[in-house]
Amino acid sequence: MRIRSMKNVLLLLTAFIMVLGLALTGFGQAPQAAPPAQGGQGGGGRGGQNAGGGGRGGGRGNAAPALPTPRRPDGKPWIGDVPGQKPGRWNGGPTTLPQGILEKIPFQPWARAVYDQRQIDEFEPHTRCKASGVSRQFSTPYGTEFVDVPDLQRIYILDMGGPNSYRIIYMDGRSHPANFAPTNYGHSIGRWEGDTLVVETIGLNEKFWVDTRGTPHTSKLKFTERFTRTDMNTLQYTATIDDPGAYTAPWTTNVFNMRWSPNLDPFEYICQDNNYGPQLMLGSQDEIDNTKFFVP
Amino acid sequence: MKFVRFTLLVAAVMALAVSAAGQEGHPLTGTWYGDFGKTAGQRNDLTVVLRWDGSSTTGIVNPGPNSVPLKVARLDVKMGKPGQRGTQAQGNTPAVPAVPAVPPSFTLHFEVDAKNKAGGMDRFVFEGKLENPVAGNRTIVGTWTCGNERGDFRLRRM
Amino acid sequence: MRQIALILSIFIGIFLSIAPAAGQHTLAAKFDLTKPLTIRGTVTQVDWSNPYVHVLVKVPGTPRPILWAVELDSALSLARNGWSEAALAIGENVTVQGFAARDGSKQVTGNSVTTASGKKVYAGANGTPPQRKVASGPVPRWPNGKPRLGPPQGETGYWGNPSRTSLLQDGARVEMDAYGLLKNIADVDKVAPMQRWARDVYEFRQRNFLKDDPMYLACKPPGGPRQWQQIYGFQLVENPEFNRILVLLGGGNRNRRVIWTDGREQIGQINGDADNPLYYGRSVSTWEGDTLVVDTRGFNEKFWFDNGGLPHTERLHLIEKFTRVDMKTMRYEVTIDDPWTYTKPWTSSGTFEWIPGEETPYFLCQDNRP
Repeated sequence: MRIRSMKNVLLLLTAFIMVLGLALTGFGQAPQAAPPAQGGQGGGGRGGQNAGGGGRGGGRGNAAPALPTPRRPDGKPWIGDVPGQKPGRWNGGPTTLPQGILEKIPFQPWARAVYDQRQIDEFEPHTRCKASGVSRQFSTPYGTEFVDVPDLQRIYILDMGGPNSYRIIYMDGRSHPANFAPTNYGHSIGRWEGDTLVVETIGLNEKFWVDTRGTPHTSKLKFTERFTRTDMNTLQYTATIDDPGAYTAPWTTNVFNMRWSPNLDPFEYICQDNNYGPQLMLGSQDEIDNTKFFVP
Repeated sequence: MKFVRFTLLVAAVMALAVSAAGQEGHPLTGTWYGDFGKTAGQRNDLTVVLRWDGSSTTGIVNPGPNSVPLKVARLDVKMGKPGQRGTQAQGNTPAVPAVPAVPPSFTLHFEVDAKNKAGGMDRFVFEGKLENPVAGNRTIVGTWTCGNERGDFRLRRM
Repeated sequence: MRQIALILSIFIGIFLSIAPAAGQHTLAAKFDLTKPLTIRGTVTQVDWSNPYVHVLVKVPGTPRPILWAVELDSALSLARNGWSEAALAIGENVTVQGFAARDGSKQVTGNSVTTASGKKVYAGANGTPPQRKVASGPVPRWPNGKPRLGPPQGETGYWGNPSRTSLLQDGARVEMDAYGLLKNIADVDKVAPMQRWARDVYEFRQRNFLKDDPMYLACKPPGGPRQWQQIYGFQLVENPEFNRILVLLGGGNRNRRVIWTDGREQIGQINGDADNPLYYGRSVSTWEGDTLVVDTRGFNEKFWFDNGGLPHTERLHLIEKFTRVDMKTMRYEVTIDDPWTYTKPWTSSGTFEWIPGEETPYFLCQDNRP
C-alpha cells in the first residue's frame, strides 16, 4: 500500500508541476480573454464537461444568445476553425466514456475487471507520451484544433499537448483499406448526416487508452463518433464502441459538450520535455518496471 | 515421476500474431518468459505464448521442437469493489472515512499434456495470479500440479 | 558520362535504401562492428514495431536457455520490402549472424536471419514488392499561379527520400553513412565552419558513434533541418485562410507544427513570450518567386538539429528555401546562421522526392518502448 500511495503522490506531483510549469510559461489552461468586438464569444460554460443531454453552450449568464453555427459555402458546418476568424480550440472533451452509464455497459468480465484495476493503477500510456487516439485526443487540458481543408477533402484534428500529433479524417468517400496496419490513431473516414459529422475509425492498436480512465478496447474496435456543432461555441460529441473483443454488444456514450475557445494559435508541446515523471515513460518506477532490455 | 521435458505433440511451428496487439488490450495477450520447478534449485525453462481472440484464449508452451499447445487456457477474474472517497465533517454530518478500493483479481489457469517416459500423457495444471495486471511487464506467479507432483512457476510478459 | 551517371545512381540507390528513420541509430552506436557474432536458437516472439523490429530468440544454454534480442530494420521498411510479422513463425529454428552489443547485453544485429530450411528472412526484398508510383509532370499550381506544396487537387502524396540525411556544407566532399556518421573521422573539419568548441563537441559525438543522440535515447524531436532528414517524410498543408502552412511530420513522433505565411514578426507564439525557446522554433515565411523562404528562430538546445550531431545554440537562425521544380522534386537549401557555434553562415542543399498516391507512413519513435 505504501508503494501505491507513493505512486499516487508522484502522479499528483507530476500533474501539479506540469500545470504549474506550463502556466508559468504561458500555456495557460483557460481560453484567452475574448476580444470585445463580438458578443457571446467568451466561450461556453467553464469547468468540466457536462455529460448527459445536449444544450447550447451560449454566452455567460444573461449575455447575448449563442452565435449560430458557422457554415461553409456548401452549407455544411465548419466543424472547427472558421475562415475569417483566428483559429480556436475545442476544450472539455470526455475524460471517461462510461460517464453516467458505467453499470449499463456490456463489458466482458475481463474488460470490466481491467477497467476497475485501471482506476487504481492509472498507468495511462498518455502519461508516457504515447499517442492516444479517438476520444482520448480530446481529453487534454489544452483541447484540440479541428482544421477542415476542403481542397484536400480532409479534416485534421491537431493535438494541443500530449503527443503534439495529428489525426486525419478522410472526407472523400473512401473506404477503409483492407490490410491497414494498426496504429495509435487508426484510420478515420467521415461523412455528413445532416449537420452531424459521423466519423468511423478502425485499425486501432492496443498500445493506448481511448479515454483518461482506461476504458478497455482491443484491436477489433470500430469506433464511431458523432460531432454536432449546435452553435458557434458548442460541439456535441457522442461515441459508439463496437468491440467484440472486449464487450458483448456495442454501446454508446452519453452526449458530451465541448466548448469553443476562440483566438488561439496552435503551440508546441513536447511531452518528452515537459514530462516531470520520466520514469513513467522510460524506466522503472518503484517495483513496476517499464523497461525492455533491448530498448533503446 | 522424473521431471520431463514437454515433448512434441503437434507441429512445433505456429504463427501467432500476438505482438501487433500491444500491451493495453487483454491482459494475457503476449509472450511470457519464466520458469517452473519443484524446488528453488531445480528450474525448467517456461515460455508461454497467449492470445485472446475475442472469446477465448489460445496458445502454446515453449515454442520450438518441444512445444505443446494449451489444452485449457483462461483468465479467471474476480471483481473487486470500487473505493469511496471520504468526506469531511460538515455541520451535524460526521466525517465519512474513505474506503479503499478492493482491486479485482486476475488468475491465469492453463493446462498442457506432456508425454511421459512410459509413453502415456501427463496433464500439467498451472494456476497463477497476475501481479500488476495492467502494467507493461506484468508478471504471473503461481503453482502447478501434475499427478502427485507439484511446484511453483513464474512468468513475465515481454 | 553515362557510366558515371550509372555508378552514381547505384550509389544513391544504396544510400537511399538505408536512409534512417527517427530514433534509429547508426549500427555502431549500439553494436560493436569489430565483434561479429552468430547465435542459433528458437524464435519465441516477433516484436513488429518501429523504429526496430526485434526477434526474440531462445538460445540453448546452461543451466537454462538464454533470451536474445535480434535487432532488424523498422516495421515500415520491412513491410515496404514485402515482409510481415508472419514471415517468421514462432518456434522456428534460426541462425542469426550479426554484431554484438557494445554493452555486453544479449543483443545482436540481424544482418542475416536464416531458418533451419535455409530461407533467409527480413533481408532484401521478399518476392517482388508492389511497384510504387513515381511522380512526373510539371509543378502543380494554384489558380493564382503559385506552386502547390502538396498534391494536385483530388490526389495525395508526401515528400520523402531526402537526398541528404545529414548536413554538409555545400562544396565539401565528405563520406558519411545514412545516419550522418563520418566514414573518416579526420574529415571533421570539412563538414561545416565550426568554432573550436563546436568542432570538438561534434568530434566527440562522432567518435562515440552518435550514441548520445537525444532522439535515439529519449525520442526528443528532430528540430530544424533534421525534421526533413527522415525517411518517413512530411506533408506541407497550405492553409491560407489561417495564414499558415501546417507541417505534418512523418518522422520523429509524428509531430505537427506551423509555418506562418502572413509576414508576422518573429516573436513568441503565446502571449508574445519571446523567452520560450522551442524544439522546432518559430517559422515565418515569404515567397520569392516560386521559392518559399522560411525563416526560423527561437530554438532551444535540447536536441540535435542534424542526424550527424552538428551542434547548435539558442542563437540558431535558419533560412530554408523550398523550391518545387517539378511534380517530383523539391529543392531544399538551408542556411545555418548561428554565430555562437559557427564562424560564418553556411549552406547545405539537397532535394526531396514527391511520393504520389501514398500517405505519410505512421511512425512513432517510441513505439518500441512499453
